[in-house]
Amino acid sequence: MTARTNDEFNDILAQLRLGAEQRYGSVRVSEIDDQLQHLAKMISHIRAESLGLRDEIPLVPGSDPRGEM
Amino acid sequence: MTISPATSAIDIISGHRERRFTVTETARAFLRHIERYDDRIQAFVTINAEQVLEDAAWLDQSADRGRFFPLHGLPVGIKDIIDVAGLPTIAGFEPYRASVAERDAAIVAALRGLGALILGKTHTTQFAVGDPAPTRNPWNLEKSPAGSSAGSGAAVAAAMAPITLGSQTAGSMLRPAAFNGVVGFKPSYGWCSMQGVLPLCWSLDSLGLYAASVDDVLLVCLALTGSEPSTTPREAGNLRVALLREFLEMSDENVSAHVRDVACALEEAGATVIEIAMPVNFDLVFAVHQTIFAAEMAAVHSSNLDQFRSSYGPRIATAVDSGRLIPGSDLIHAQRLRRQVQREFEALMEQWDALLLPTVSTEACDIDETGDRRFQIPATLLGSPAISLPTGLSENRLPLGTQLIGRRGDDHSLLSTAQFVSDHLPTIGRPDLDTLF
Repeated sequence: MTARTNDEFNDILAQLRLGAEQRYGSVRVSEIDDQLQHLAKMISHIRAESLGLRDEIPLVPGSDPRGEM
Repeated sequence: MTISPATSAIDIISGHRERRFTVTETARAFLRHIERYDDRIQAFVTINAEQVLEDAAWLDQSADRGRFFPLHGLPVGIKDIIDVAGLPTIAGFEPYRASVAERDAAIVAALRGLGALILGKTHTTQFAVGDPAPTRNPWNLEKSPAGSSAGSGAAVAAAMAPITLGSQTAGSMLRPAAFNGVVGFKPSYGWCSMQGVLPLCWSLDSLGLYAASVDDVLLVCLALTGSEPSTTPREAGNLRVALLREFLEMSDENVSAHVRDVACALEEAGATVIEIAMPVNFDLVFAVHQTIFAAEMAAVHSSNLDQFRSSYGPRIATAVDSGRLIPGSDLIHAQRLRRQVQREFEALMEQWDALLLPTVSTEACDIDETGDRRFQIPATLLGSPAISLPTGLSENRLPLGTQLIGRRGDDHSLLSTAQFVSDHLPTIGRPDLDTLF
């Protein structure tokens, strides 16, 4: 993990923990913390890779001229 | 001639058509076999024997009148997230135990229309996620049959059904195939209607088939899709297979050595096998899948979890509670990346007939886990057809599976390749159930 993605990971994890605490309470946060860390790792990867996406994918269904999906 | 539960699907149907044995005799043979062994293996969760025998009698009366169906009297087990009229769809979730389905799911109705004999429902992990089912591995009762289609994989391995239906949203078709030593086929995404199937993730869910051989899988797939069998078998000289390096490096030593042996056997048979790197970093493939998986699962289960929290297993409850915290913008980016990954793989697949990799990184794990799902995820995310073949036994006499991934929408070509592969490798046979007791 680079320093940048490490910062991103910590930021995402903090946000997930905060959301979990507001929604479920602190006891549940500790119960699901392994999964929150897993998701934070996945999301930090998604954010890093999405920066490099060159093709913009139309978000309106059926509007993709390549006819995909 | 008498029917044995180990008889292939092809031979069972031909036996019925040629009147060598009746569908009722077949039904009784399988029900007896299940009764004898399933208290320890627990592949089936619900069977209505009276209904099975009634359906069998109807098929025999039909044969008496000279009317035969393509899958005449073929016993089929159904994963318990798929509706079968008159039986509950429990999905490993106690509040659903009394929820009897009023009609068959579309795939079950299609099977019945082709003359299949629906035996009953097979155990699944709760809602096809990660909390283990009660099923045991027929090769070793202390080992996991994997999940989520635990009962369907174990039922075929233990000869309790020649064909079963399973489903895959991460690795739930292929991994039980590998751990139980059977053929597991996950067709291309969208190959059949999902009506009457409990969803887990709408953009990832796919149904699939288990059987003891590729030939049996092909028979049922051709019947379900109304396709004609190919008259030109796969020729070795034309077969190009890419061995994916990353998965060998991520596997246990015995697993990677085994799949390299499989690759050598294919080369000796005349196929071209070349080791390559994935066109996309595996960590990205995994991250995209896990983000979409968690968000869609949360969407499916959120309100149900709030209503029935105490009945949910700890793993799925944790996954749903965390999945509903995923920001919408990250889900959108994951979907964009999914399409990029699909394009990269489609370009790669123009050069190859199939990708070759281990089905799972390890042999069957201990009973309290369902195994490593990573290697089955690429085919799920891509929506590509994939098949796990039982290609060997480990030193611990546990099955090892080899996975082939084909081009999306070209399922018959992948099955043809799988036939070639299985024809050039020794079979592993079946577990000896009597030594387990």
